Amino acid sequence: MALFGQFFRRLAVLLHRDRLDRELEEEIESHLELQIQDNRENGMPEPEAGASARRQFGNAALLKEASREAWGWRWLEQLAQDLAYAARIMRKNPGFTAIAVVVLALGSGANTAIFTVVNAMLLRPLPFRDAHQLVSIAEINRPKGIEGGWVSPGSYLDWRDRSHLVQDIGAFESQPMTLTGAGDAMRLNGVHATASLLTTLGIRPVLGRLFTPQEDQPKGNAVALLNENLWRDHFGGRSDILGRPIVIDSKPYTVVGVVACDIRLDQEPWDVWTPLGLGPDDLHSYRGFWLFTIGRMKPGVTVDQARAEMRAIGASIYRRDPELAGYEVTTETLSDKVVHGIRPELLLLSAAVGLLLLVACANVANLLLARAMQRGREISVRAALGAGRWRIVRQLLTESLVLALLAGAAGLLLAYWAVNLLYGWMPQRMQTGVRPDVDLAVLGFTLAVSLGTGLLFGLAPAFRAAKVDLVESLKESSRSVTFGRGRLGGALVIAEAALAVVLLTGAGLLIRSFVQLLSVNPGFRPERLLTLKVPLPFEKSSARVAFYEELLQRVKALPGVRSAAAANYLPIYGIGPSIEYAVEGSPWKGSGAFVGTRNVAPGYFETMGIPLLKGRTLDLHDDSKGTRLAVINETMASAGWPGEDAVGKRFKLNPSINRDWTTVVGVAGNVKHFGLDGKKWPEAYFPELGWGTMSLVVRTSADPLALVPAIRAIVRGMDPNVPVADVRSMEKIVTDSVAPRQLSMILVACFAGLALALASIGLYGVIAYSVAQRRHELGVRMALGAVRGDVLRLVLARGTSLTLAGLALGMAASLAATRLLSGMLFRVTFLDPLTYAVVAVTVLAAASAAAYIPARRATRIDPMEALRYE
Amino acid sequence: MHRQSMMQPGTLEMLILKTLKRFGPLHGYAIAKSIQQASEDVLQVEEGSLYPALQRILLKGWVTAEWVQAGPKRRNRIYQLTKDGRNQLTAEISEYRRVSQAIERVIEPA
Repeated sequence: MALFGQFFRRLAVLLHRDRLDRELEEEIESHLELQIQDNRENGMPEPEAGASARRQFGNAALLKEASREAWGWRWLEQLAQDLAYAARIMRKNPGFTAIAVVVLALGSGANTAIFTVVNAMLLRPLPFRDAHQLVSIAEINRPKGIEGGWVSPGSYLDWRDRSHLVQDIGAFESQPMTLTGAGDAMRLNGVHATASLLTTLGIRPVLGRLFTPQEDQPKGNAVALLNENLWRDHFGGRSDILGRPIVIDSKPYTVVGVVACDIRLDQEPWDVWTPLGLGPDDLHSYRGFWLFTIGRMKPGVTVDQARAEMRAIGASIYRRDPELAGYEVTTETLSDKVVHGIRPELLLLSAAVGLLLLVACANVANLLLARAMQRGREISVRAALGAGRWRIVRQLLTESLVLALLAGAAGLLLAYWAVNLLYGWMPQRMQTGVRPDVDLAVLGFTLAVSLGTGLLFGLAPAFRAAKVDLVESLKESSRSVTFGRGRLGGALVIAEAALAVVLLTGAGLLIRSFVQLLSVNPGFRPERLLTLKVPLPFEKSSARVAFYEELLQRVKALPGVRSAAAANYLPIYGIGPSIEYAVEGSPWKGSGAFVGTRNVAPGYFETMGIPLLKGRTLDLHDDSKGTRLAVINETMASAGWPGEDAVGKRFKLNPSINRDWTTVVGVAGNVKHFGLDGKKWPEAYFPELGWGTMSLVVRTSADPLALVPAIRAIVRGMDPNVPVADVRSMEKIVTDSVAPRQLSMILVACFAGLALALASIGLYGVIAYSVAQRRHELGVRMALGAVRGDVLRLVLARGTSLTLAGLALGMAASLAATRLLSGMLFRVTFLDPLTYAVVAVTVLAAASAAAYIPARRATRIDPMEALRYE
Repeated sequence: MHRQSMMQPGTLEMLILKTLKRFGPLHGYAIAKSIQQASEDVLQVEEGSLYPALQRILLKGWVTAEWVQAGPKRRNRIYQLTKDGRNQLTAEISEYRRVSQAIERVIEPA
């Protein structure tokens, strides 16, 4: 109750502060009058009576302050005062304010932008119910280099039935599908999924219903679910879609529901879902791996527990079949799997952008130091009037925080704009379908960064300024008002330079890697090469062959086309299925060599510009002859027939089940099938056109994309139900494949450039300040006969010593920091001497330029004027 | 903030309460003078520090204040002890006695 009363009294104080202030004033006034009266009555002379009364009373201003403090709202008032004062100071120095805010906004904006992406992709849970319970379960074979994560139906069904810790497991197979009968034929990202996948993920239909387990049977109903986006864009978002038949890959399906799911579990968000329909036949299929599986752990089960259980179940499966030697089951959280590819890049960017922020902080701290020097007298006067040290620190910190918050707000705007730009640039591989946006976490992050930076750059200058020597600084001479900025400022510049060096080294290594990557010979000529996919909905292989043959004939006849061919998988971003093979004459050991297979049309090597090393290429009639023929690549030739001529030799695919031999007719150069930084892999090319989806490759004499309308017209003319998809030039495929590296390289290089610019500005400030301080000394030197060159050297020496210190520190830090970069480098070690040399030269050059400007000014000092100035 | 005082924090408040209890309602100047006289000028309170102390105990509800006209152009703020203040004083005095007796017992035998 007593506390309650006190609270209301305090509140009343807050509301009636002005009246209370007046009353306190009046009370003190009346106290003094009474004292003066008493003094007079005791016979004290007039001026003495008043002075004595006041002396006895003490520092009235301070005591009033103390009384107000007793009311308990002093902090609020002081905050308001400090804020108003900070605003006034900032308005009075618009140049300073603008520079500080811009520098900090760059730092906090860049951090906010990167954090927005990190937040969306790494920190926020996936958009599924209780996403932390979801795990991706996969089968890999490390000894054989099979790490794609595909799962055999037999294993999947075993896991589903035998696991106690994972309550529900769903399986799926992504499959491009062609939608016809509703406008133009359309290429869609489809998925065959078990009914349990939808319930495992916790997906609810937006409209209609999901599959039933009965529909998910080998001879279940042909039903389909549509993605919400496809439903809205293509079917007008009308609810009468339910029960309507649609034609997918020439087969009728009934739409039973609409689902919302933007997440990329595999490659793309899926447009169409159809039942997978595993049956009894699949129960015993352990050797064919073609599914992906996602499980939901029971509540309270950890990933480690689930992993151990799945591993044990897997081991019991693999023990039964020697063919499966080397396989094991891996279990990781779904979010780990989804962000797996982009995590290193995002962490790298976070680190780089954090360093940039530190540089910005050091820079602004230096600016504030310089300003504290100018404001020395103001601060001294405040201290002399009774402001405590803490009070002064608080006021200066308030100013820093206001600066930082302003910069934070500006940075947020900057980040909002930058994130959209960034997301647009981000290559598809890095986009996980979770669009980064500004949410509460991002706002909190920006606020925390602003407050943190405000403290970081404000604290040192504030304490330095508050530690003022009153007597010294109140003397007339303004020269004696120094806060030892020289040393602290120098230390800050060294730190800035060191941080910039670390960033520059990182950027340099990434740039070197990228240049190395671009200089990799892809094994073919990507210029003026058009690629496009033509998926055929025909059941019969012969119909597909006929279609592709005619299509190629017609495309070749187009003006501007030099040659044309087709392949089922294109280099760089596609690898064909790898199949086990055995070489004739050497005993097959049961497990061992794998070869990537590609089906190509005649003329593929000529069109792509893949060099033929030995033998001949494939021609039109190779397919129809009795024996199977193939062109193999260099790697397979040297692996299968080391030291021998492979042409004319024979090998067998799937040796355990297959009896047919394939004869090598030629050896072609290696092609970078896994991307420019990819590994070498044995490859075999077969003359076959009967594949469901072939990509056309067209060598043109001019801009390849100019031919697209003509080719589309040909395809439409041959069959309106055949879509044309993935139209890209081969050069675009190559640049897209290096885009993630390119993006992080460009960003880190930008951050490093900014850091270097900031560090140079910081150095410039410190040198300019020291020149101003040593004006007198320099004047004396020049009066005593120092020539301009001497002065120039003297000033530059200070800049150089600071820079060298920063460079040495930064190099040492780089050696430690860039080691973490090793995984992202390509044909460059993190100790690359060239990079370090270029960084050293760049930093020295930038620093010399920054120091030269004030040094030049120093040489123009007129000795007479400098001496008179004192 | 920077009161030079040889007194323990809170002592001044106790002295004010005691003075008000002994003499009844008083204004600030009178309180200051009474404390000085009663202590025979041993407690040289910086007079002004009385006012922050008065503000503190006002907020705590140990005293109430009232403006009283004292002449044509002047009025005085008169402070009066409340029931809470009286209880507080009793408590503080007995606490003070306990501590000072204890201190005395420690230094006496020397």
